[in-house]
Amino acid sequence: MKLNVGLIGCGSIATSAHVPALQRLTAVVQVRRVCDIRAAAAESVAQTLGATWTTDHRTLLDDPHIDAVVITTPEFLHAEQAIAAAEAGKHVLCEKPMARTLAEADAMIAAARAAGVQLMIAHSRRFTGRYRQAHALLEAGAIGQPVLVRENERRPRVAGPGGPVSGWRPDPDKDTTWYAQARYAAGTAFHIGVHEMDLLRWFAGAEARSVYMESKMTDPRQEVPDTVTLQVRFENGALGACDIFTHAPADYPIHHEFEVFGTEGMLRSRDLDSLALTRFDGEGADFPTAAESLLLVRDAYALEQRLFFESILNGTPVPLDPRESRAALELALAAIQSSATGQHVSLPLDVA
Amino acid sequence: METPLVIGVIEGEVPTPLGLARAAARHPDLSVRALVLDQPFAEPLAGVIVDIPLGQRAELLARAAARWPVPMLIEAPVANDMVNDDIVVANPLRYALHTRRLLDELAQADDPLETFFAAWRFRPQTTADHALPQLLDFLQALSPGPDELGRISAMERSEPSVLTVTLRYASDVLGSIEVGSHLPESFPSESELVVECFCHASAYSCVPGNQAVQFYGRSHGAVDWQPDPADAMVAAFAAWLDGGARPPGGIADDLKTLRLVDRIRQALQMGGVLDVQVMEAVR
Repeated sequence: MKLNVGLIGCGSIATSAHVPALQRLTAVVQVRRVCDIRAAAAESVAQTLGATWTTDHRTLLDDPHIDAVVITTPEFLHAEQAIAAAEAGKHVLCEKPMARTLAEADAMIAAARAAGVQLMIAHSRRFTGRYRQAHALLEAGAIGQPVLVRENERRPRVAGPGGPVSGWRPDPDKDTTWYAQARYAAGTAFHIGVHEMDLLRWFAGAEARSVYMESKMTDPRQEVPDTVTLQVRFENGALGACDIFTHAPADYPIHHEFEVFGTEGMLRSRDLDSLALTRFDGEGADFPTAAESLLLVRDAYALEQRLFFESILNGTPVPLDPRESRAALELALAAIQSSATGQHVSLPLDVA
Repeated sequence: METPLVIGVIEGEVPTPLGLARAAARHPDLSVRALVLDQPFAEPLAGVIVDIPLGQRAELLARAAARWPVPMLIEAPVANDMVNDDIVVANPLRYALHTRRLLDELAQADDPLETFFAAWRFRPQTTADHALPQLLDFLQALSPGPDELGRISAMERSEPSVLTVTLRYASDVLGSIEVGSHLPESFPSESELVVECFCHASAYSCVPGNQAVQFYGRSHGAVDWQPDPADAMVAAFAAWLDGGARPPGGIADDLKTLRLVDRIRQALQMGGVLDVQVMEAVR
């Protein structure tokens, strides 16, 4: 049996990650329809997947043959679209960050529960081989109790999703993408940092109790912070630390690296040591495979989708409970609050 | 140098990890004399090197300076507020090949620093009391000074000890620091230092652990093959005695750095955050 799937959002994360994953899962799913408010984007992805297309997600949700939707729109649309999908009886796999607020996240979880459908947030790093291996080692007690979890991410200033120039531009009179605009986005702590928040919690094996963050805008085109450094204290005594610097020179290898220091050992995946290919020319060095092998790991997206779809087919819980994603969102929101106030912020946050 | 400089060396009962005395002994242009504070010594000295553990430095340096009013070299930190410009309080990070080169690169680049990350990690049984002040002194040399510091946030834990610090400067530079004894016993070297500096147009990654001779057997180890910073410190001191430039680092720099250490401790006591500008205004 195959699931009939709809794709809402045909932007950069869809075309770079989710569409290739869907193409690998034809034994499990059939993509019936795709949607994007930009007709050309929708048509292009529809052709790739052999589906029909629309510019209105409500049309897609009205299709009674669609069992599940993959939502890959910007986060300010997630709650509205995920709730509408759940109310239409569709299972939902939604890109991260889960939503803009905890109230929205709670409404998404409640809507899925009320409709009896599955909801999962696509935290792709939970499905990336090295992070899964690291977590398995932590679970097995290989390094004792966690002492410090560090996640550092480095991105070239102008490259890729998250930068001010690459992606959807909702306002024709502005030359930046939605990522850079305060009307649509909350900055790096949110759309990149929520990955780190999720991994910090996962590796620490405990809930965050306090967070502090400093942030800045290194690109004058940004309306929201693009660079952050943060500290976390977990309830089990472990510390967390994370720097996301997005203003490296253009030829700097985009990467993420993590270290977990424990009472009896440490785990480390230092990406600069893991770069598989370096090209030298008259201009210097570049790292052609860095993004694909270290951050945009296509196998992770395929595994994430396969496990999600299989859980629907088998009637089993999804591999990543949406409450875990809500907790990552809460930590990101607390960090942003800390950055605004210059104070440590205690968790849990007050939803109201 | 036509004739060797005669240098006095004061050592403690236990050799220091840095080993300024050992470096002085192997310097080809120095003739080294062992000094004991309470014992007579009549020979004229060009300078004195004080190579003793951190806990005894402040008191012993004061006594040595009173007895031998000549230029002196001692490892930072010292924590003594005497006024004496002839005392070089030297931070090994300003002399080691890789970190000295990083300072030079940044100084010459004319490219404003935006963010930095620095971690100095040690194995559990390794003495690390010097780490925070030396790292802060080094970072002050590559970033705006402590007078321009806007806000400090700190978190720490014990057993093993780890301290994380976030610094926000008035110039908008953000810094992230990690210091602790949280490396595992089996880590191949006693410590590792990582410094990353991101400027507007350039980035510097300083990971000296990559430049070590690794060995595997019943245990795994790494021997750093870079030049010993103590040699550079002694060489700079000897060059000064011979008429060259005064090496960097003095009592005032040391106190400035220790004031920053105090501010980090204050931040911890105050629940995590210290607004430096507010503190200065109150004072």
